[in-house]
Amino acid sequence: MVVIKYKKKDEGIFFSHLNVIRISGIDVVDGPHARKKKMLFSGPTSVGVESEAEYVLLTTDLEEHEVENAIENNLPKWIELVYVKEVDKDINLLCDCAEYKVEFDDYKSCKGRIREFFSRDKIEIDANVHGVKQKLDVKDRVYHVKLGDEGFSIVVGIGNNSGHVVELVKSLLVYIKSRSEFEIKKTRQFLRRDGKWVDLDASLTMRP
Amino acid sequence: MDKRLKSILKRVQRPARYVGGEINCPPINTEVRVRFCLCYPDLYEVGMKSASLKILYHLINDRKGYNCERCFAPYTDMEQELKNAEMQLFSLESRTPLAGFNVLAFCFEDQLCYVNFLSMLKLAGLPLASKLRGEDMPLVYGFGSCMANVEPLAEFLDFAIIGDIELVTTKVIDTIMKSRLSKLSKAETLKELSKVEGVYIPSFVKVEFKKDKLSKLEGKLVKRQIVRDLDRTYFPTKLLVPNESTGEDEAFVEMARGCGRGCRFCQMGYFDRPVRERRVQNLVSQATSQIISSGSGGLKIDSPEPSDYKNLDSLIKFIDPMCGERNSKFILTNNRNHALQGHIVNMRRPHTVELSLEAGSQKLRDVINKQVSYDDIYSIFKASFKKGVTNVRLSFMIGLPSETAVDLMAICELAMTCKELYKKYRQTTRPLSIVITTNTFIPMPFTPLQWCGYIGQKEAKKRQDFLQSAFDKLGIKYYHDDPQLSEAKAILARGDRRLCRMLALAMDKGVRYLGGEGINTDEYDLAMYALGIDKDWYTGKKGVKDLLAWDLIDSLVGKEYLAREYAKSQKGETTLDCSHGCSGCELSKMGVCQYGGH
Ligand code: SF4
Repeated sequence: MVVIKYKKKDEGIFFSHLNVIRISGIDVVDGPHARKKKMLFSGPTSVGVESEAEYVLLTTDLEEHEVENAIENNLPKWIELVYVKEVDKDINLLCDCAEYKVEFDDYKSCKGRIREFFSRDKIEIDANVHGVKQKLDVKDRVYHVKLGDEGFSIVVGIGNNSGHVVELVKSLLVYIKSRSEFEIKKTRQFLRRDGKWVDLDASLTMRP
Repeated sequence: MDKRLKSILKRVQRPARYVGGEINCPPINTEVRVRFCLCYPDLYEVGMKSASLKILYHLINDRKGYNCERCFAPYTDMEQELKNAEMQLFSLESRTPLAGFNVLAFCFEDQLCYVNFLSMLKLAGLPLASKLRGEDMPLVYGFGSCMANVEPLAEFLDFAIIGDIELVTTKVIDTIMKSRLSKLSKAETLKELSKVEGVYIPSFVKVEFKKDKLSKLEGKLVKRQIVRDLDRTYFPTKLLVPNESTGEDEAFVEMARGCGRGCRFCQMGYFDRPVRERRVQNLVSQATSQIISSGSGGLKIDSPEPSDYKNLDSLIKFIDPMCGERNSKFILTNNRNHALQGHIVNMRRPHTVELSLEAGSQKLRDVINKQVSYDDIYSIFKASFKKGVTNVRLSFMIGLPSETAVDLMAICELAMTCKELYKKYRQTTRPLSIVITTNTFIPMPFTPLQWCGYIGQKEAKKRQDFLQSAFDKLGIKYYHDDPQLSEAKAILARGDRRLCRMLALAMDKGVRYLGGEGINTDEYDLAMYALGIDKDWYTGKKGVKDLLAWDLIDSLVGKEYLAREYAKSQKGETTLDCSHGCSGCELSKMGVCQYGGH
């Protein structure tokens, strides 16, 4: 079993994780009949969002370098393979949350309002949950916000506990009355182990 | 990437349709003298399936000094975004606005996409009418199966290619290159192009109408061009791997072209004659390089009817282990009558048998020359059920000439017999799933049934409702085409240049046909009504002696031969498959047919 980590940048942000898998042939390194059923994605990033931390867990008998050889020439130029790592079969790849960097033009002049937005009792967003549009309070899914010089970083839930980062940022911009275009980049993913948040990269080297 | 475009792409569905940069994309040199853009008037994932597009893209890019990019019709959300941002439609590779190319080549494989073609020209900021496009604007030409009748697009296209694209395209691009080097005007370039065999220039054709009828069609007779030897024809060694799944993302080789079965409704069966096959050795080497270059887990072997390929056994013998070694599987396309040949398995859906029977009754199958008997059909069912098949998909046509309620009932009876046979021969406890699909018969140019009428959308709807209620009672799933769209297609397929105004109006009113979805299609009727176009004339029966809008195209099969076949169909007489005996179409005199006498 291997974990494949890749980055999506530039035009690559417009590729869904399923498209990346299909184009790269990750789904067929083991043969065409192994399609999809042997794969697990950890919090795949939405289309339109840059990512430095995309992970696929692939059940295969192939060695790391064999998987690497099979896919590295088939990646679009905007998708970068970071590594292929062999892992134990009971590895937990389902992360709880991810860190994103958010930037937009008038960020510097809005820091106060941003703080205000995140410190409210409720953070309501317009989310699309299983095809149904609804208002969602994601206050308890926003774990950490840190305001930096050029933008802020935010840690929000992913998967079943999703903080819907794109909708969250849209809602923030409405709140602070900004019409700027924004850029979001996923930088890391975390999972919970022994009551602590562990970076997924680090966890892959630990014993369960 | 341009900031404006990036922000648009974040808002539209499936943005990967618009970014290009696919695996195996050749390097693009924008400094060449002639810049081509290959345009497909439908969505990216539809166009990327097109065999013509796959071949032509690489054919032009593999020639030194030429450059070819691509553009597909945007979906309505992208179209609106481009309009809002006042951006022009652009190519995928270098994101050059279409108006910046020297040549725009449009691939037409469905008449319903004509409106998309016009909307693409409009989004490119180009006038729709060819005569209004100036010297600094691109030449716009059409190719593909719809070009059997160029006339409905006559006012928009500078020229069209008739026949196999590989052959004519190389001559066309060389002529355009020479014309540019000699600084010829557009009119002079068209004159040069008119000397190339297989090029149809609508502005050189004189057309007159008396009352409703076409009364005069004057111009050069354009002979359809055919590649005689597929093995000696260009075929790319690498193909693009689509960014968005097309549903058919496998590597691809073309096993054969043309079909000799002679189904009388099928345009490909006559306009693509004769049957030409690639050699096994050639196919295996092409397949190997395709699989290696695309990293694909599958190989699609394309052919009008795979079971007709002479050396199918030996092809499978070579391809199967080659695919096995490379972890790939192979798929024979259009493999709908596979059970007729015990060794062909539908690799996409092994538990499914798909049959295109086209007509429920033997009488109608004889009319259309679909040479499958009840015995054939029942033995396919028996053999399939014994092999564990649990899904049956049957497709038919309604509205065929001389169809009555008895013929429609025959479709239901066939489905019932299928159910009974399943009870007898089933291998599993799973219930049988039967899906019936019908399409409405559309008389197509260059077929023996080209003189027949289309039943009209009201009658089509009536017959569909009849079948729907019958299948509801039988608990069988039933799907059918949209009568409004089939009527529009019937009008356009045999249309003439009077329809250009209707198309432009319908496009302006927002009619589109994208990814199989008709948008604002009510406007077709309104546009025809507004312009006083008599749709019944277009859909009605024609006389064998009538002048037809495509009479200046020579399909090489011969109008007399088609008329003979038409007469036989009216008597319910059948004609042998070409592989079983030549029935003497005009090709037999040219020495280009492997079956036909010289
Ligand atoms: S020449 Fe004869 S065998 Fe060949 S396509 Fe024509 S009818 Fe068929």
